Amino acid sequence: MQKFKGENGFAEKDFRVLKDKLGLDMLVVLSLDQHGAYRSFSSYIPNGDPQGYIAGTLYTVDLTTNGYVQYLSIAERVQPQGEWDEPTAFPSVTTAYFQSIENVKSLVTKSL
Amino acid sequence: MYKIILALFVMSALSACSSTPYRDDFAQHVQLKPTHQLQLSDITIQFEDAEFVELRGIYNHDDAMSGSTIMYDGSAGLAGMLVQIGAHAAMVNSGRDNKLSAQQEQANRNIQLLLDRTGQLPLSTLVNDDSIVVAAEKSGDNTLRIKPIFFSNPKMSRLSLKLVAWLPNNNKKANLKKSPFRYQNMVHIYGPLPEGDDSVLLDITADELTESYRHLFNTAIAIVKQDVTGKFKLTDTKAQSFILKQDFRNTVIRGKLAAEDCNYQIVKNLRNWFIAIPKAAANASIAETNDIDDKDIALANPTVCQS
Repeated sequence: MQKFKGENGFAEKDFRVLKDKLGLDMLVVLSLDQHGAYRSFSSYIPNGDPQGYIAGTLYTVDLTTNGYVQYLSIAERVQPQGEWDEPTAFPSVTTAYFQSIENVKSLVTKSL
Repeated sequence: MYKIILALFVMSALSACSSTPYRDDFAQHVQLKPTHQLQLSDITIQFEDAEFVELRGIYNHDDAMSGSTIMYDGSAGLAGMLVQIGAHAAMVNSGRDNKLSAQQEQANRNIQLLLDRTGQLPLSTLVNDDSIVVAAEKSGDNTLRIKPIFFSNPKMSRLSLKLVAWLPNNNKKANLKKSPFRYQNMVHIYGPLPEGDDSVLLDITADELTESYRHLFNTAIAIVKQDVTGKFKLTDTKAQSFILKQDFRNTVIRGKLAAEDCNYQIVKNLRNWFIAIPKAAANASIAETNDIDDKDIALANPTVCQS
């Protein structure tokens, strides 16, 4: 897909070609760029437990103008419950990761 | 040298003055060896550090501190630097403990009305079959030690119970400091979640409230009994996400389905704890929810339920 040379408020790629090709008026894009465990540090010292993490963007594009109708940054972090440092499976952090996925699913559903 | 001593003093002072949050609602799973499994008829239970119903508010587990930066003094040399990092770590850990402790205290304040209403409810009066309860001096190797902790949501409409159960290690050759338990696990069972914003647990009668505690407690004991008698046979299916309906945001339970009946799905989670999730049909009222007893639990087979 080609780049779209528009101003702020327009998608970076030119999605307009999809209008006729797929017979759509609007396109909803969920782009997840980062996922896994997130841990914050203060200098060398961790100031929290590793959290379940998923980040990206959710946007809706008007396929006539290629302009954004909706744009939402997603950075979902979920605190593990109780002890986290349990190698090799790290059950708390793993569950927190799956919780972050469910939270994003719920967020997407509510946003549409 | 002065700076090092000062840093050590700060570190020890900060460690000493931090609040201690509860951490007893957690248990490391210890699998009971198949040859050590108990007979259902032989099981007795003993309440450990628990005589009355202990009720707490559900608290936020997030104890992360804000990400402030700190400058270390380089003139103190490598040793001084390490001491400063140690002092900084102690400060952060102390702050995290204080934050978690404050959240737990606030959660308990949120349910003060329910705490007052519950009062001192003896655990022994909640057990269906009180013949299995024994005093500490009469407990034996096969006496299950249990510690139940009840929780309420802030709305005071739903109870849940975390029940930690264990069997002491009776192997005389075992290193008891390293392996104090022959078996240890936790059951987390949730009561039904009523719709609406009412504080249902404050509106029901005292008998109905007692019944709510009794139902959760006996069902959790039944699940532990099934576990120590080897009734749960899990297949090698992959773990999946089960959804527990909550007030604001649904909770994911990751694990394998161990059993289900008309009211509950019992999931063995990634930590091997048993989580009892009420089914939608059982969410209406605890009065309509049957206890799981020793014979009721199906082994992950779909059960035909009456509508």
